[in-house]
Amino acid sequence: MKHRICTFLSAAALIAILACPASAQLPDSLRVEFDFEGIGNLVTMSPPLYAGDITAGDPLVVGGTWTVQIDDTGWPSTADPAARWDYIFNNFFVYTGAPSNHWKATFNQFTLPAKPDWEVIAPTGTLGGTLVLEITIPDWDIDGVLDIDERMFSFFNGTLMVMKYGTGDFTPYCGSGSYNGTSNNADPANWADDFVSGHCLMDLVNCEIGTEAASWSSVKGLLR
Amino acid sequence: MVTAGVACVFVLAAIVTADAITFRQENFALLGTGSFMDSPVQFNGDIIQGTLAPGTFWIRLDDSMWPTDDPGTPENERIDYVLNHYFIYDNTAGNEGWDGYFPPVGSGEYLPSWRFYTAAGDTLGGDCNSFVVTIRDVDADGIVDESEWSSKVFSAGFVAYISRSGGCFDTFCGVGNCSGAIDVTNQSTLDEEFYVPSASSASGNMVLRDDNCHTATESSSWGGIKSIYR
Repeated sequence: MKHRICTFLSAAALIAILACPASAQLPDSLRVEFDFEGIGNLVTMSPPLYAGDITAGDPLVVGGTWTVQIDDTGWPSTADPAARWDYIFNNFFVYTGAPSNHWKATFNQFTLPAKPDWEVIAPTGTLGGTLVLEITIPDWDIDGVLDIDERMFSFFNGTLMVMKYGTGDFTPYCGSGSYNGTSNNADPANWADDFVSGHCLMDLVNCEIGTEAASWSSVKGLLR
Repeated sequence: MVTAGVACVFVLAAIVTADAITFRQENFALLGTGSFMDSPVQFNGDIIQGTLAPGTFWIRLDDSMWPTDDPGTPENERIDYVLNHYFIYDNTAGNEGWDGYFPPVGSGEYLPSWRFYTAAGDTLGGDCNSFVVTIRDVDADGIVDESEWSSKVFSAGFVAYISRSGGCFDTFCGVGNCSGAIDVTNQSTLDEEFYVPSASSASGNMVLRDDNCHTATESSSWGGIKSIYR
């Protein structure tokens, strides 16, 4: 009887080990890179939501999806898209003249009630957090007026925080990341969706283990 | 000479003409070195992938107001200044960290500047209209630990000036961006690696416009530039 119990417990332990998630195999620090694309709309969606697919890159996330959501508290209703766009343009976009000739908007905790949120749902787990978003629209004809055709193409870049904690393979991790890409709009006059594509890099660390408490005094010590 | 010719033919194949204005798209990946402890603060190295490769690059931050480190004090005055002047702490629970804006919004300080030099002899350059560096506060203690400074991420926006363009780009100006990581590689010197992905796929991009970069016109056609992305 005792032997049978031991055999049963051994088999159960083996099954438990085999069923152990892959996260146990992942290192304490991890760099994940991927390409993404998707659609979204600042004007017709409240809150604005950009979402799409992870199309290439690290196998840990390829096949997954992503979302970015912006807190639009205080923005005009989507019922009047022209007024909403005017509000966005007048409150977020700042023009820089020659020789730069472009408009730049920053979306962060200082221009919004809170930083935009992001989430990645990968085949084996999820990650999420907050981000800083900067959008640049070139003034191609250098007249200081945002023409309708200039609204058809823009650039975006930013950095992000990876929140404690993910799920699945990403359960132990937090970290930081950065991204950049371009946005196309086929018909801004009729508030069409933006098509966005770009690349993202995330540096993940195991935040469940104790982190080094060294402050800059110790670095200074190293510099001596 | 042959290499340069092939490169120009290849690049020219990407040119799209719309009315009198010509657009072209370039992409790039970067791998270089630098340090916030150096003066000037310059990250430089190689263009390792993309239509602008092979070549070299530099990105320079204005450090004219930064102090040097005094070896006689326990603090690192230079890094302290950088952290205090550029970085803002976000204490959102679970998302703690610092975002550094170079230059600080509304400061009027000089923008970072940049140059790309292709091996074919072509030049692009201008300013960074955006340069954001983020440090994760992994232990959420509000103090930038050595390990946290060692692993930074950044994103940058580029504006290319016609006055800085040369070679194939002599009459071009434009806009672009990139993102990547700045990681300490030597803890004793705080030397860092500057990386824009990747060796196999270039993630930095730039759209350049030929002609009329310095005079106002209203003749641009977006049918042309959109076709690049289809």
